[in-house]
Parts: sequence; C-alpha cells; structure tokens
Amino acid sequence: MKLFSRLKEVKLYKKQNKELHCHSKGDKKRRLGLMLFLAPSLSGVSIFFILPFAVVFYYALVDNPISQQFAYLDNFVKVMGNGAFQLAALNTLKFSAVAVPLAVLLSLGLALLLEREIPYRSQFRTFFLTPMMVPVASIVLIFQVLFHYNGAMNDVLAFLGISKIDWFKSSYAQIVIVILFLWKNLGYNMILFMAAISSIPKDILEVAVLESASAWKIFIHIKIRYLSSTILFVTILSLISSFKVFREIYLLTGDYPYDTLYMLQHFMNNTFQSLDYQKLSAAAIIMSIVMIIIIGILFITENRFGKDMEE
Amino acid sequence: MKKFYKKLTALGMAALMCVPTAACGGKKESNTSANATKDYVYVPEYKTVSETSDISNVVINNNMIYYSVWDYDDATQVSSAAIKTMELGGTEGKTLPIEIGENDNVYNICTDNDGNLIIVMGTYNTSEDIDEYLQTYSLKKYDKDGTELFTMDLSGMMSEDNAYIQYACVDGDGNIYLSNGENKIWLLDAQGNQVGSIDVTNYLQSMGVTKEGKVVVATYGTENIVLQDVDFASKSLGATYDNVPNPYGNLTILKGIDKGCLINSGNSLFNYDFDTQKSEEILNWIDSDIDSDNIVAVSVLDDGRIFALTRNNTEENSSTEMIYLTKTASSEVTQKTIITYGTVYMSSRVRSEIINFNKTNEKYRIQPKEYGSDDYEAGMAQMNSDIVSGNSPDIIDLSSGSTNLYIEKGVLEDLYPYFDNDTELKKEDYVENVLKAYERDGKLYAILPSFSLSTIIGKTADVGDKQGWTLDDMIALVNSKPEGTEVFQYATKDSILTILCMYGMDQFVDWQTGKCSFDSDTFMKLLEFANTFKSEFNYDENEPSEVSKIRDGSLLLSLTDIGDVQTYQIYETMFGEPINCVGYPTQEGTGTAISIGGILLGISSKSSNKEGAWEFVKRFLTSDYQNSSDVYSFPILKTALDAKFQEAMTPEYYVDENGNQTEATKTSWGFGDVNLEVYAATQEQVDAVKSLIDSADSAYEYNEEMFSIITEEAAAFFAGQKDAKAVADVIQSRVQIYVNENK
Repeated sequence: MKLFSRLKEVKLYKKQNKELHCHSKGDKKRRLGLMLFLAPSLSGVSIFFILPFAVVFYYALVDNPISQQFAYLDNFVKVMGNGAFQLAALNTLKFSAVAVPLAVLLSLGLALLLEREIPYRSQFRTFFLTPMMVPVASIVLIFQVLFHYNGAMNDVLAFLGISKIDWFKSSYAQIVIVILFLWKNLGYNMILFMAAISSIPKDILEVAVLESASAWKIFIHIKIRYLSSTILFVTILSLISSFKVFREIYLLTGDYPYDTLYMLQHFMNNTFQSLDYQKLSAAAIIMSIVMIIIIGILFITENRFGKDMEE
Repeated sequence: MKKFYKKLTALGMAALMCVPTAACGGKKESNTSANATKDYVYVPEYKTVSETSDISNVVINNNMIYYSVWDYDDATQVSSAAIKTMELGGTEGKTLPIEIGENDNVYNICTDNDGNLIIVMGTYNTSEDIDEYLQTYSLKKYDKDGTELFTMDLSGMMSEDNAYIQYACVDGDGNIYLSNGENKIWLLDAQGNQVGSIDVTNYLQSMGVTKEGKVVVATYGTENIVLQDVDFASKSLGATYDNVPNPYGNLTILKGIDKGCLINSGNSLFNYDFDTQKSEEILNWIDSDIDSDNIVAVSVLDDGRIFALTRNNTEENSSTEMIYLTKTASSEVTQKTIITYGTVYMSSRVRSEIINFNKTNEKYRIQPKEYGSDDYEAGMAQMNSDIVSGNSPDIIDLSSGSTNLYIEKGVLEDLYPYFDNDTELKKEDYVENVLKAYERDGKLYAILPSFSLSTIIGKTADVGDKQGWTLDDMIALVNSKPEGTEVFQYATKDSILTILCMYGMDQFVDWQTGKCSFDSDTFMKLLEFANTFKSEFNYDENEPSEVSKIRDGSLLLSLTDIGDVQTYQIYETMFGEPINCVGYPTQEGTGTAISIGGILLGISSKSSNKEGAWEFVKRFLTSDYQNSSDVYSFPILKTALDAKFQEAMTPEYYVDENGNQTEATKTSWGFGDVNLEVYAATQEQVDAVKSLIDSADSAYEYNEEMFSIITEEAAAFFAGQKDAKAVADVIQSRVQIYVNENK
C-alpha cells in the first residue's frame, strides 16, 4: 500500500514537473516579449536618468572634474558647510513649508466651495484655471509690472501715503513669490480635488446626513478620509512645483537674487556655470535624499490615514 | 503593505529623477569652427617673389599674374606706381608699358576671356584747396602686353554722391560691371559703353565672377548676407542664394574649381554650390600654414591647384610669396603629433606664431580650435564644457578671462617645472612680479609674454610722491579743489563706480573669509562719490582738450595703461610738471595693476602632449619673440625690457632742410588744440617706469557677475530712487551669495 502510494507521489511529481517545465517555456517567451516591449523605455530611462545619476554620483565623490581624485565625502561636508547652500536650502524649505500647505488647503477649500450650488460656478472654475494657460514669460511680465519698484503696487501704496517697498529685493520677496506660486497652481489642484470629491460615494454621504451628522463631521470623517490619497498626490505635486518655482524667480531676478529668493536651483545652476560639478552633484544628491525622506513620510502618513479607504 | 512599498519605491525613483535635471540651466552651445579631421589637405609649396614694393589688385589669367605695385621714395618724397606681369611659377615681374602718372591711382584690375586687362584708374587734381579736391575715374582696356585698346572717361556716368569705384568685374561675355559698393552697379559693354545701371538698396560685401562667367554680388538680405545674380540683360539683380558661409564677416567671391564659386572668408576657403545653395569648407588657411591676414589674392588654377599670393609686411622685413596648394590625401602627408590650441577668438599674433611653428617643427603641429565664431558667451561656454568633459585643448588661450577659475579648478598645469627643465629658458630671466601675478602657492599657471600697467596719474603736487592711496585720499583731494573741477576725463557715474570697484574690490570682498562689506561706510562713500559725476558724457567739440584742462587745473587725474616709456613721457609732457602714477585707490598695495598685453597662455593639466604644448608656449618667451617689434607693450624678458628702455633713451636724428642733424621725435599724440611730442627718454623717466613695473603686484581679472550686480543696483541710487544704504544692502545681499557660492 505504501509503495503504491509512493509510486503515485512520484507520478504526480513527474506530471507537475512536466507541467512546470511547459509553463516555464511559455513564460520565457512571454518574458522575452515583455522585455522587447519594455526595452525602448528601459533604455531611455537608463540613458537619461540612471546613467546621469551614476555620473552625478561619481562627480560627488571626486575632488574636481579635471583631476578626478577620489575625495570620499569631502564634497558633501563642504556643501553642507557652504553658506550659499545653507541659505538656498533654508529658503527652499521655508518657501515649501509655507507654499505647499497653502496650495493644498486653499485649493481644497475652493474645490469644496465650487462643489456647492453657487452662482457662476462654471465661470469661477474657468477663472481659476486660466493661470495654467498663461506662459511663464507673461506671468513674469505681469508680476514685474505689479511688483517692480516703480510698479503698480507701489503706486497704490504711494496713493495711500505708504512709502515704496522694493518687493523683489527685500524681506517681502518671498511673499510675492508665494502669491505667484498660488496663483499659478491653485486651479490645477482644485480640479484634482473636485474630481476626487465627485468620486466620494453619495450613499455614504446621504446616510451620514440621515444620521444627523454635522457638515464638519461629514467633512472630517468621510470626505477627508476619501480624499486622503488625492491630498497626498496634490501635496507631492505642489512640493515638486515649489522646487520648480526657480524658473519664475530666475526670470524675475536673474542668477543672483536678493538673499530671501535664493533657492537650491539657483545654487545648482550657478555652480554648473562655474564648473563646480562636484559641489553641484553633492548638493543634488543631498536634495534627492531629502526629497525621498519627505515623500516617504507623506506616504507613511497617507498609508496610515487612508488605508481603510483603499481596502 | 507590499503595494505601499511599491509605491514608495516608485516615488523614490521619481525623486531620484529630479537629480540629473538639477543643472538644466546651462547656456546653449555654439558650433565651433574647430577643424574636423579631413580626408585630404591642401599641401603648400612656396615660392618667394623678388618684389619689394606694395602689391595690390592681383589677377590671374591664362597662367599669367597681373598686379599693380606702389612705391614711395623717402629721399625724394615721390611715389611711383606700375602694372606688372609675371608668369605663374616665376619670381620676377615685368613692368607693362602702361603709363601711370604721379596723380593716378590704380583701383581695380580685371581680365576678360581674351586675356585683356580692364583697369579702373582714378586721377586727382593737384589743387591745394581741400574743397577743390576732385578725383576723376577712367576705364582703360589693354591687351595682355600692355597696349592700350581704349580709354573711357567715367565722370559722366557717376554723380557726386557715388563718385568712386570699389568693385570691377568682367563676365564671360566680356561685359564690364562696376560698383561703388554702396548703391549702384554700372553695366558697360565690352567696348566700355554704358548700357545701364542697377540701383541697389544694401551695401555690397563683395562682387565676383563664377566659374560659369556670371557676375554675383554678396549683399545683406533680410537677416544675413546672401548671394545675388547680377542680370546684365534685364539690368537688375536676379536670383538670391542663401547659406553663405560666415554670413556676418567679410568675404571675397572667386571662380569655383569645377563650377559655382569659392568664397574666401576669415580662416577658410569655401566652395559654394548655387544649385543646392550649400557651402563646404575646402581649405583652412592655418592648416596649410598660411596666415589669412597676409593673403593678397587667391585663385583656382586650371589644373585644380589653388594659388595664393601673400605679402608679409613687418618692421624688420617684407616678403611676397606665391603659394601653390595641391590637394593631397591626408594619408600621404607626414603625420605629426597634434597639439590643440583653444581660444574664443584667435589673435593675429598667435595665428602667425602657430603658422611659423607648424612650418618649422617636425614633431608637433598646432591645431587651432576657435570657439567664439559669432557668439562670445556661447563660445566661452563651449570651451568650458570641453575642458570639463575631458576634451580640453592642450593649450588654452586665457586672454578672454576665467584664468582664476581655471586655476582654482585645476585646469592648468604648473609651468615652473618646464622652465626648470628647459635648456634655453630660465625663469630668473623674466620680470618676477609679472610671473608672480599668475603664481599660486609657488606654481605658475599662465604665461604673459608682454604686459602693460593700469594706473591713475596725477600731478605730484596733488597726489604726493608715493605710489598707492585710499578712496579717502582721493575724495579729500577732490574736495580740496574748487567746485566744478573734473576728476577724470569723460567720467560718468557708472564708469567711476566700475573703475574704483574694479581695482579696489579687495576692500569689499575678502575671499579668504568669504565676507563681503558692501554695506560698509566705505562703499556707501564710494557710491556717493560716483554720484557726483555726470550721468552720461555729452561730447562737445568746442570743449578744451584733456591737455588744456589738466594744465589749467580744471582736470585732476588721468586713467591710463602704460605699455612703453613714451606713454609715460607723453603724460609727463601733458601734465607739464612732475607726475606720479599713484594707482587706483585700494586698501592695501599700490593700486597699479598688470594688464594683459594681448596674449595669455596656459597648458591644460590633462593634456597628453604637455611637452609639445610647452614647445609652442615657450616661443613667446624666446629672445627672438621678446625682442621683435610685434611686442607693442613691455616684454617680460628682462634683457628685452632693458633693450626697450635703452631704445627709448637713444635719440634718433634726421637731417633737416638746412642740412643740420636734428633730433627726431619718438612719438607724438594729438589732443585737439595741443600736439604733444616726446624725444629720447631720460634716465629718470626710465627709472620712474621701472619703479612702476616693480610696484605692480597683481593682475586684475574683470568679474562680470559681480560688476553686473553692482552696476544694476547702483542705477537706482544714481537715478535718485533709492538711498545709498538701501542700494548697498541689496548689493551686499546679492554679492555675498556669489562669494559664498564660489568660496
């Protein structure tokens, strides 16, 4: 009996092995096909992202691009101790810390407002989206007209008997840039939130209303829970946009702006021009590590907060 | 959870992707005029011609060269001109029996298909009254032996506003085309009768005949230079052709080799195809060891060789060479080790040395790589990019700036070991403080073959007899003078601010500690001082000259570059009393800076042919070069410098109209109402210059970034919109970032 069962086991094993073998043959073909389809994009990613990153990493570890002597972590230490890098990092941090929450909260507020039955809803939506259509050069021109030392804002201040403010070259400079950033980004964020709000199940909201839940409770316990992944997405998007505000600042104030407007991208751009590739590379790696940490924290937060909604 | 980590990894990768784009703000790169390796080269064969006179209007027809010569006899003070002919390959010209009077000028020579000469000649009247000065033009035709066929007076054809001929051509049918290059092309038949004219709206850059015998002009199109047919039949300009090489520079149109035309422009000769409207560089003059500055004529010979006639005029000697360039496969030419010479713009002096080096050196060959063909900034960015990416030229021309940056980045090789190992040169033989100007930590990174000194000159009675002063000293001097006294000639707010900051930057930036002090009282004082000058200078022709103003005390100081003893003497004469080169106001030092005398060279630390690069660089340090008349400013070789001083002290004489030996002027400078002349220098004057050279302790390099910030911000103060404090604070903020970044 035992032998019989042992034979049966062997037969079964052989059969399974054969099936497995047949399966791996087909799988191999399938994998090859997949690889072929993936090859163009993989090679693109390798050439344009992975390889440059390797080069950046290499430059960060050598003393300079000419002699190329291994410098251990000296470049990172130097960059961390560099006054310009510290200023740029602090300014970027301050700007992101103010602009990103504002961009998320205000766009969420606008989305909730426009979700209600208010007059001219459609017109308002279009109004908030228009900055997206305006080219950067035009935005810069508009802000120059408004906030230049001899611009419209100072004319208004003069009319009110207040002395002129050098908006781009004083401590007010970051406020102007935050306004510019919000004006440019609120519309897009708002649309994302409106789409997310519309996908909240209506029956749950109706049940909550029937259960006499207050609007605040509905917002906190239902809407925010359902919007959590969108909030995360909008936050990350705004964070990336906040790093990209350099473009507008550069066009407004050039390579070396007033110190409150000096961002990390200025540091990188200028060090590139002055052939300081090792400084640039070390700064880029530090920046990417910080970005990964921030995004990781956001993810963990979202995972804890909105996990049940995903499930 | 697995899903979460997948997401986290994906976003991490996205963040990572931000890194390589971190430096996307680089400026666009330009095409360099660097020479790609070609399959063929044009190998030159030289033949020196015995002609000593000035040669011009060279044309080649049926293996004969025709040209005009001009001579001036110093003794008799009489000029003479002739038209000569020479066989291709010959060395001596034969004068044609064409009469050219003392008042005649030969402006153009061209030939027709029968070998006849068509000459445009101008004759001016001898009236001494400048208002009655008149030149009349005539067109003359001679056969190849110089027998006159006809003469046509062109006066009737020309009006007062276009009374000159710049270009002359003969087409395949013998028709003659004349142009003033500005607004008119006159059309004449083979007998010289005018058959019409064409009005042109844009200046003509060139006029020439194609291989097919049609006449084309190079003129400005909507954006750049285009070629355009000249249609004799319809008496108008015809089809237009684009893609002309070097569309912003000078060019000459020549008959093509097989068809179309050749265009000679700058360092290159291009073949232009009218069918495809494309040009191709067929020859780089430097590659063929020819200095394009010396080319008098170029032509294609019937056997396909290219012929060039060059004339090299130097103070020491003049020579004329006929060069026959034969197209040869690169593999058939002796291969030498290539040394690349990188420059934004090639100086004519360096080009000449490259050509001489390539002609004589059997082991190495210098290959120039000119980066800034039409855009300086893009050229500079491209050169920097090449240097950093490991494609650095072996020799780097540093005269365009960035020397300090290159030294800091380790781009440049220490040149002292090459001095030490050289059997011909000793570093002790060169002016120490000039070498020291490019020395860091005991290593020499650049060679400055000649130099001048930037300084401020004033009367000793005003500025004292010591070299070096501070801004406070200068302001005190200005304040001690009556109101309205000018400090510098043609000074404006911006120029004064730039000059005072340029040489006194060490007062405001401490590169050791990285601390800036533009918010200090000293800088605000400087701003206030600069603000006392005019916003812009309005030139007034009735204004007294600089000399008059200095002498009557209404102008205090002169900014200048002293590159020879005569310049110092001129200033001494100008001030009319003892002078002192007090220098630019600085906190420390003398304020007299070493300026580049045109050439500054370094060797790449990454060069694989450093010995070969040194072979070339050292040419500029040899006694031959240092003592040559081409070195206009102070030579760096002590013996050559002493020879210059000796020469400055040696009087020159001439015999005057009474037969007396009279001392000749060394140089003279005209200043409107005053003409200053100087004679042989005294020992005291030479000593003063020597002392000035010894006192110069640094070489200044203009920092464009810092100065653009300073001038941009100061403009608001000068316009009265902001006070000095507010402006100084902004400058402090912006420049401090720059300094921190580059520390």
